[in-house]
Amino acid sequence: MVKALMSSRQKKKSKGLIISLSLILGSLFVIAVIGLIFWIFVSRILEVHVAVDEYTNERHAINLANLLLSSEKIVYEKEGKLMRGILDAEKLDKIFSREDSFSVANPIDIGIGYPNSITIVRILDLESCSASGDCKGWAAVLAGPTSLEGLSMTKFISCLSEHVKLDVGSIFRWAVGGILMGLWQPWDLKNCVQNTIPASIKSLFTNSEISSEGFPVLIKYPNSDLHLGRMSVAVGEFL
Amino acid sequence: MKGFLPITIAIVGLIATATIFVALTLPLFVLKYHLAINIQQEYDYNNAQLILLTLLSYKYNESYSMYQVLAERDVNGFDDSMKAKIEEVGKILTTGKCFRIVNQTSTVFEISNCQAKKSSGEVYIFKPYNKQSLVEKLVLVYE
Repeated sequence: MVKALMSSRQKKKSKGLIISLSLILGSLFVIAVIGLIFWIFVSRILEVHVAVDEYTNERHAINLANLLLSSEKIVYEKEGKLMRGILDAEKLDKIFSREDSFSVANPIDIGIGYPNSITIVRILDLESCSASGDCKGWAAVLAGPTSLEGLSMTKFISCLSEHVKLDVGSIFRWAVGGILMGLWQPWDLKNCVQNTIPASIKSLFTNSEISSEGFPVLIKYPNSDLHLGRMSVAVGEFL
Repeated sequence: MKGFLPITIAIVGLIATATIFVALTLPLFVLKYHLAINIQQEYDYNNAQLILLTLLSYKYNESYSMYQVLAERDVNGFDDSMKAKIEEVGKILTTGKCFRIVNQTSTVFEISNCQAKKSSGEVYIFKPYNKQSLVEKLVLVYE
């Protein structure tokens, strides 16, 4: 009788142990699965960008475009007054390059730009575009002063010019198949940043519809013709 | 009662993990969302202002500007060819988006079959020979 009672107690104890062990293992498994999902999400799916810096970069592009649209260097002057948003074709000819002579490898300094930055400015005459989307226009690469140690803007621009040659048509192309053409391609930038910029320097480039779509402008020609145009500004900054 | 302990531990662990997960990821999405919206608003406002400015500076014909067309519409009329020109130029400037031009009290111009209400830019123009006011605020609204 006593033996039977002890055997029954032992059985109950071991049953309780089995249940507890399986529940603990099950719980650990659930936690492990959640941890794995979280790890996959963070490492493979979630792409964390430095949003604050990137959007500052976009804001810089907007500010620079606004500044250029009111700058006496390219804006049409009438009776001593600067006509905001109306660009003077003669002034553009002096500072910017036309579509047949533009090269990324020749940056210019017009006193407008952010430090440690590269800026591509494109102005398209939308009333001169062909059926394929190629337009006449002007473009320039503006380089700001460099103050970061180890940063060679010359190397970066040289690399960019080699790669942008592949997409040179896109610089003076407004839209292809309804899609607006950007001023630079992410794969060109990634390649050049990896090869020419030290890993300690952070690189940020405008890469959105904002910089691709640009702002509307008017272009005033010497014969008083006014053409509808578009100015796009893309800024790349090194921090 | 002892049998409930592992379940309790599992539930607590699950809640703790879920809380940490949400706490870590949610702020990132919220931050990005707000920044994206702010920069888009900044662009849309600048763009709308420049569209309106460019539209007003553009020529209607060799001797008449769009500015004059809109400023003198109560005196010289505002016929279908003028409206067609505004629609044509406006569509180029807004890259084909729906738009309308309004003043303080009424709609000055709008494209049929669309109702723009998203982004806006405004500019003041002189309105000669107008009895009520010599200045009019024009607002461009586009999608």
